[in-house]
Amino acid sequence: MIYYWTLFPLVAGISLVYSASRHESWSRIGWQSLRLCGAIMGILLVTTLILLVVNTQV
Amino acid sequence: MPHPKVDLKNRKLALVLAWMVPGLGHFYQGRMAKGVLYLVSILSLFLMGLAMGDWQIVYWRWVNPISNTETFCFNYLGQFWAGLVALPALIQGSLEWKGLEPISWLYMARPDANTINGLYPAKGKFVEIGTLYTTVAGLLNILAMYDAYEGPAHLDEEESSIANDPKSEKNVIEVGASA
Repeated sequence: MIYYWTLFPLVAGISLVYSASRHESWSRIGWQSLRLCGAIMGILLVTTLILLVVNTQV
Repeated sequence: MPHPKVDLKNRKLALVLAWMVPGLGHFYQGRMAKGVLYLVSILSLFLMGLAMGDWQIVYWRWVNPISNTETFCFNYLGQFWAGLVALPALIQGSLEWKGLEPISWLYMARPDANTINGLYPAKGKFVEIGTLYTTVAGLLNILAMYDAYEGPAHLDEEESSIANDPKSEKNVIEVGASA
């Protein structure tokens, strides 16, 4: 469990830098980075849940 | 909504500056806030990763990547792009390759096998996570370099659509002014 926090700075950094490279307007950078951050975290969460379910069935 | 103008100045110089220090190319172009965002995001990821690996996970050695896949520093191909902060590894690795002693006051000399083997019991998964952090930081700086050279991707499209619209009063694209 102590390693999971390391995911947040990484995802936040990727989202911010990617969004900043796509837009010049700060409002768009902010919104896209939030959306991207949410999407990445959501995908990771769903993947983890699926793997957890699969793991408990084996 | 008015479109901000982006003066990229000398784009090649901005590209080199953006590699040297994340965000420096943007400072040169006068895009201060964006420069700060890149500087803080990329450098903090890189330094956090370096600290997680006890400052021993970024190094380079000159070996044949085909015949020495086990010792080839694959991660450094990404870490290198973080800029000057990762350059000492290349200097130290080159000194070692030439048969010279690494510079003692400079970090990123290749650690010996005992040090590397001792890292995993002491730091656990943080060694791998730190390597990931530093590599991703370098790869993210490629995005920042591209932004310094080409400008933001979507601004181009937005400005182009305005320029192609004959009814638009603004028919001049002021993005991507080359040197």
